[in-house]
Order: sequence, then C-alpha cells, then structure tokens
Amino acid sequence: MGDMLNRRMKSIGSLIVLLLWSMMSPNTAIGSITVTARVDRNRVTIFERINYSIQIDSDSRKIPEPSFPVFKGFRQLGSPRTSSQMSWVNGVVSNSQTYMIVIEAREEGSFTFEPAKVVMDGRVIQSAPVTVTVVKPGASTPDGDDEGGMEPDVSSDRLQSLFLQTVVENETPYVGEAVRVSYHVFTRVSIRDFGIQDEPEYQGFWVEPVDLPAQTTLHSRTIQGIEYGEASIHEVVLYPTVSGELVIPPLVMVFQIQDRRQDPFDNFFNSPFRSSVFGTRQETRSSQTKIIHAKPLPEDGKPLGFSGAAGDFKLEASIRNHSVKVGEAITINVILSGNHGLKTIGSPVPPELPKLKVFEPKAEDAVQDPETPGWWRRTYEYVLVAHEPGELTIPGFSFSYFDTETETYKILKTKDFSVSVAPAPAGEQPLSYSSSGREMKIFNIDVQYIKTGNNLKHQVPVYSNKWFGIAMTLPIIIVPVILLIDSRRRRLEGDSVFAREVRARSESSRRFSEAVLACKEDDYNRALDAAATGFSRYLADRLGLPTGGITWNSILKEIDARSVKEPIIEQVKDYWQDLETARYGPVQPSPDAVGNLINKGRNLVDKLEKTRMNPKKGSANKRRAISR
Amino acid sequence: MSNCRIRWIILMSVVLLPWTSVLKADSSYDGLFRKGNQYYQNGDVALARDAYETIIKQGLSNAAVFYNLGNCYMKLGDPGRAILNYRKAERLDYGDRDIRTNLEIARSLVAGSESVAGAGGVGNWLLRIASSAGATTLTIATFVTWWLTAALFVSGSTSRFRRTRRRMFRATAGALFAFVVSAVLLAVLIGDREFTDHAVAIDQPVIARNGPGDHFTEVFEQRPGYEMIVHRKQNGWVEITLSNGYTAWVPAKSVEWI
Repeated sequence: MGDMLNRRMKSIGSLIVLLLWSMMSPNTAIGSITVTARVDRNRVTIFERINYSIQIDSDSRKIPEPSFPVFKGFRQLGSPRTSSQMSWVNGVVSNSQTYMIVIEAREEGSFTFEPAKVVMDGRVIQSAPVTVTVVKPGASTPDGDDEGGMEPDVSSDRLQSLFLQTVVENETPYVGEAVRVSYHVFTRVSIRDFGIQDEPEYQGFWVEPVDLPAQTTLHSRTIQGIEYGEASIHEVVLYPTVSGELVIPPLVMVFQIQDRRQDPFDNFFNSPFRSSVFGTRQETRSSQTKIIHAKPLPEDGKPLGFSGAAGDFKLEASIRNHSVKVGEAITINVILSGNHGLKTIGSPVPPELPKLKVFEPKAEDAVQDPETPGWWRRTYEYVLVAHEPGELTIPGFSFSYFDTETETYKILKTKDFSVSVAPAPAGEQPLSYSSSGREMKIFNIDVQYIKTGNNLKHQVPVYSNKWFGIAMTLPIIIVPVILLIDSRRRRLEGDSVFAREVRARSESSRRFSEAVLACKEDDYNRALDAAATGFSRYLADRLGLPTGGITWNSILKEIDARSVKEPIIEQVKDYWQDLETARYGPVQPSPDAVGNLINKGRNLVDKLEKTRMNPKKGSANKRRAISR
Repeated sequence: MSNCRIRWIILMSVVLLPWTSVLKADSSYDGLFRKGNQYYQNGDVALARDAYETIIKQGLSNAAVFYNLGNCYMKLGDPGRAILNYRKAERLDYGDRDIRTNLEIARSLVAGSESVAGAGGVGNWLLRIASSAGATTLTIATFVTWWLTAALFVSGSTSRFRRTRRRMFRATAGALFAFVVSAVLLAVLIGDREFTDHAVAIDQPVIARNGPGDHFTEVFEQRPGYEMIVHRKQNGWVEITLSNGYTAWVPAKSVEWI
C-alpha cells in the first residue's frame, strides 16, 4: 500500500516538473507559427463547390483565429468548420488548427483569393494567395483530361475515391423535348447511406422526377485504370421551356461512408473533418454543372393548335357506344403515348362538332406504357352529347407535335366514328343543363329526363329482400327431403318386407272398417272374420311372415323371437283368444261384444304400431332370411 | 253475430290494417313526387328539390326520387350533391341507363371524381367485375344457379339410370361453378356496399390534412363531388381515401355518406 502511494506521488511530481519545464521552454515564449491556405481543386465549373481550408501550425498551445479572405466570384455556404490536433513529442508541443469553408463558384474567370491572415503577439502571419479558375461547363481542362476517350468524361481533379457525375442524355434538345438527366456516383469506398443535401433549382426547365428502384446496384467501371463502382442515384427528366443556354446546377449529396480501416486514431489523424471515428464518416459531394443549348422550335410549318410537344408520339381512340338516344352521352377514349412524361402537354384537340356538345375531357394520370419501355401513355375521356337524332360521323381527334428525329412538325389523327342517334322517348321531360369549363350553366340541350309515374315503393337492394333469403334457404331444406322420400320409395320398391311393414297399418284399418260395416249390416260373422283377418294380416306384415297359410302358432312363435314386451304379448294372446271364442264358440256373441272386439282390435293395432318388433339377439338373421 | 263471423272480421282487420297504412304512406309519397315533378317541369327546380328531399326525409328510399333529386342539383350547379344522389339511385337500380349516364356526366364535371373501390388487388378486380354486372343481375344469377344446382343434383340423385345420373352430376358441377362465381361476386359487391363506408364530398372545397385537425399539414384540396372511402371518424374529422389512393383527413361535415 505504501509502495503504491510512493509510486503515485513520484509520477505526479514528474508530471509537474515536466509541465513547468515546458512552460519555461524557449518555443513557448517565442511561438513559431505557419499559416497555409488551400483549396481541394483549383479548377472548377460554374456552380461547383469547393472546400477552402486554412491550416495553422504552431508550437504554441493557443492559436488565434484566422481572418478569411473575400471570395470574389464565389458564394460562401455556411460557417467554417474547425478541427484541431495537438501532439507532444520529445517535449516539443506541436499544435495544428484547421478551418474549412465551402464556397460555390458563381462567376467565370480566374480568381485569386487574398492570403489568409493570423495575428499573433502583434505579428501578422499570412498564407500564400490561392488562385481558382472557374470555367464554363464542358470547357477543356489544362491537363487535357477530356482527351483520350475516357468514359465517362471525368476531369482528373474530380477523380477521388468518391465523386458524383452528371450525365445529360441530350445536350442540344429542342424546347419542350425531354432531356433525361441522371446523377451517377463513382465510388471506391463502401457507402452505407446517402441523401440529397441540396436539390438543384432547374431554371428554364419543367421538371419531372423519375422513380428509381429502392435498391441501388453498383456496376463496375474503370476510369483511367482505376476501378470504380458506379450507380445512378438520382434522375430527373427536364423539359426546356425557353431556348438558349440553360444551366443544370450541381446536385449536392451527403454520403455515409463505411471506413475499411478500423483504427480510430488512424482515421482521426488522416482526416480532421470526419464526424466520427467509429467506422463511419460523412462526406459531401457535388456533381459538376452542365450547360445545355436548347434549340427553339422552328416557326415554319407550326400547325394550328400546336401545344409545344416535342418528341415522338402515338395517338389512338376508341368509342364506347355507337348508338345512343338524344341526350345520352357518347364516350370517346383517346390514348396519347410518347417518349415524353406527357404532363406538360395539352390534350388532343376534338374536331368541330356542331351537332354535339363536347365536355371538357377527363384526363387520367400518365403511366408507363407497358408495351413500349421508356414511353408513357395518358388516356383522355371525352363526353359528347347529341342534340338531335340522325346518323353522325365524328371526325378523328388530332394532336400535333414536333418530331425531333426528322425535325418537322407532324399531326396525328384518329379514325372517324359513326354514331347512330335515336330520338328520345316521347312523353319524358328533358333535363336541360350543360357545362362550360367547370362552370355550370343552363343550356337548352336535352341530356336526360326526370322520372315520372306513380306507386313509389320503398326500394331495397334485391339481395336485402327477405324473399331472396328464403328462396336461397329453401333448397337446403327441400333437397334432403326429396332425397329422403326418394330413398324410402326405393326401399319400398326393393324391400317387400319393409313395404309390408309400412302398409300393415293401412291394410288392417281397411279390414277393421269392413268389420264395422258388416256389423252395421248385422252380419256379425263376417265382421268377426274381417277383424280376425285384419289383425292376423297386420301381425304377419309386421313380422314379415308369409300371408298364405298363416297360423296363430307361427305368429306367436315369431312374436316370442322379437323383443316385444311381455304385457303386449299377453294382450295379443288374449285378444286372439277372444276372437277365436267369438268366432267359433257355441254362443253367438252379442252385437255390442262384436263392436267391442273390433274396437279392442283397433286399439291393439295402434299400440303395436308404436311397438318396435326387432329380432332378439341370436335370431337376427332370421328376419333377413324371411325378407329375402 | 256468430262467433265465427267475429273471428273472421278480427282476422281480416289484423291482416289488412298494416297494408292500409302502407298504401296511405305510398300515396302521400306519390303526391309529393308528382308535385316535385310539376315544379321541375315549370322550372322551379329549388322547389322540386325540396319536394324530393321531403320524400327522402320521410324515409322512402327510391331510385327515381334520388335520380330526380340528382337532376335538380345538376341544374342548380351543385355537381357534388348530384353525384351523391345519382350514386344512391345507382345502388337501388344499377341497370338504369339514365342514372348511369347522368352520373357519368356529373363526374365529368368534377376533375378527380371517380368511384372508389374498398378492396385492393384481386378484391378490386373482382369488385370491378361485380360492379359492371350490377347487384340485381348478380342476385338473380346467384338465385337461378343455386336452384339449378339443387334441381340438377336432385335429378341426378333420384335417376334410376346410371348414364342419366352421370350427365346430371356433370351438369350439377357446371351449375355449381356458375353459382360459386356469381355468389362470390355478389358477396364482394355486398361487402363493398354494406361494409365499406362510401361518401361524396359536398358543399365548398376544403383542405385535406394529414391529421384530424386544422393544425396538421395540408395534403390536397378536396372538391365537391370527390368520391371516397371513409375509414374512421375522430374529433369531427374523418379519414378518407380517394380513388387515386390519397389518404387524408377532412372535416366530417364536408362529406355525406352514400
């Protein structure tokens, strides 16, 4: 513990001695200082941006702020950014402070910036002057970078590990002609993300943005023997609105760069302006300025109604209804397609139609033409209304444009349409209205009619009608019922035992009715015979016994083989005994006794009807054998 | 008077009383409707509009009334309300050419007015087909194909002849397919009409914003006649989607439900 304290005291003491020594050193007292001003490029095109930096190196710990020169011909963008480094080697302190500012070239010419100045201890220390040449876009660079067929045209002073390049498809377009401008990034570093810092202001152009794929893919490109990854990261289509020299200003983008070197001190000392030392840094790049020469459209041969479209176009039309009544709408769809965004140009001109009212067309948004890549198409819907009946010929719609290939004016025309206009139905009151532009006015044109008549009913959509629901539900009930009936019918046809079972009740009822009739006729023997036949036939049918030669013993034997409750069997036996006694006994039964027997038989049949007569276990096959 | 006769009178009263009230109600609608038509023919469009509006306020939903009311609004220079009423009429009687023609013309007067589909992708595609067929046609088609399927199935099932049975079952499969197609289209149409809130912008143009309040950012200007789907309501504002897919919030009072 004591050793540790001693060692700490010693090191603190050494530090104090070292500090005192450094404060008393001659360099601190005298203070040597150098000021260096520089730009990252000495030759730029107009509207390009460069970095102007002042580096002050001194052996003093405290460095005064420099005064910036006046940047004539340039515009200062933002305030200066600073960074500093301090090192202490062999007791010598070296301090470096860097101030950087972004300036944008606004005028052509050669500009010499006055020296940057620093005042220290009453002395004025200044840098050397810096000269920057601003040239027109496209002008050759002194070191002849444009020569040698390099693709793309990149000057040496732009060749860095990351740079932006403006690519203009056509530098001499006609007024109104589409010019595709794309901004390509060339990189030898790993870009994590990027975004537009300053969107250029395209003066003298109508601008249409181009949607690029969300995923940017780099393609390999070799420039002056150096391999780069290249990708188009921003595109616009420009339509010159005036002729003459037009400037396409540079696009300024910010890139998040992934550092390959992961040593934070290495990064720090190599680039003082990096915002982070943890693997990524932010870099700003601007593309070069481009100048295009927009040619005026020739006055000779300019057709009437020319709306300023230049390029290549196609025109098609279709009609929706060839026969209408007076007052009904005729709809014509006109499709204009071309190598043009189509947003800036006027709609096709409808022909002179004195017998028709033409409404202002409804235009859909321009969409990419799926049939011709790079082309756009736009549909205009024209509504025309006929005033009077008859056969009409609607002449084609026309569209004039300047063909940039042949450098001549062309007029496209669609085919004529024939329309048959029938008279409006008699007795209906016409509705008169029309429109002029978007303003509603009353015209004497019959377009449609109000509806008259009586018996107004509350209407609901057909599908909401309850009868529809019932009608849709009925098959769900009816179909199973029909199928069940059909199944029963088939069984009755194919299964005689089942058929006898089913018919047993009705057959016995008929016999008992005969017995009642015979009773009324005082024919008691016939009545008893009918009741006996009805009862025995009922049992035979229910038990599936053959009707011929049926005996009481066979019936009893079969009932015993069935799962019939004992009391019912006893009732059957009693009834049969009573019948036999009445029929064959020595005493003739009274009419009331016969009537009672008939009623008892009927009741017993009713009771048996409710009784199941399934075969007992072990005799299951017997019934099947009978039914066969 | 015998009990049987009294019962008969009571029964008939119970059966006929509701009908008499219905007939009375309908006849009053007819009177107003005739009056509205008379006003219209005499050029008193505002009075005609009031008559038709009264009928609708009394609870009658009828395509002819909505159609005539739409015509009134067209004449009065209010294409927004005209579109609204034509759309209501169209829902009740899709097959009527007059309604569809006038709706088309009213839409042509309002740039950006189009019908909006509630569903996207396949649903939208099906809805287009269903809308072009119309609810009545699809309802009838669904009914006919359903009964045809049932009849053919019963015929096939009850036939004693194997060949006939096979033919009938094939025909049943065809009818069933037709039924499924028409039922799906009808279901899509019902889903769009009954379960999606369609509305039309009325009155003055209003600024649509990206949130339910005046302090939110402006998105676009909503003009009378714009057709839209309403998603939800909040603090007197509704979230809407237009036919071009733009979604924004507008004051609830600036739209009227179809």
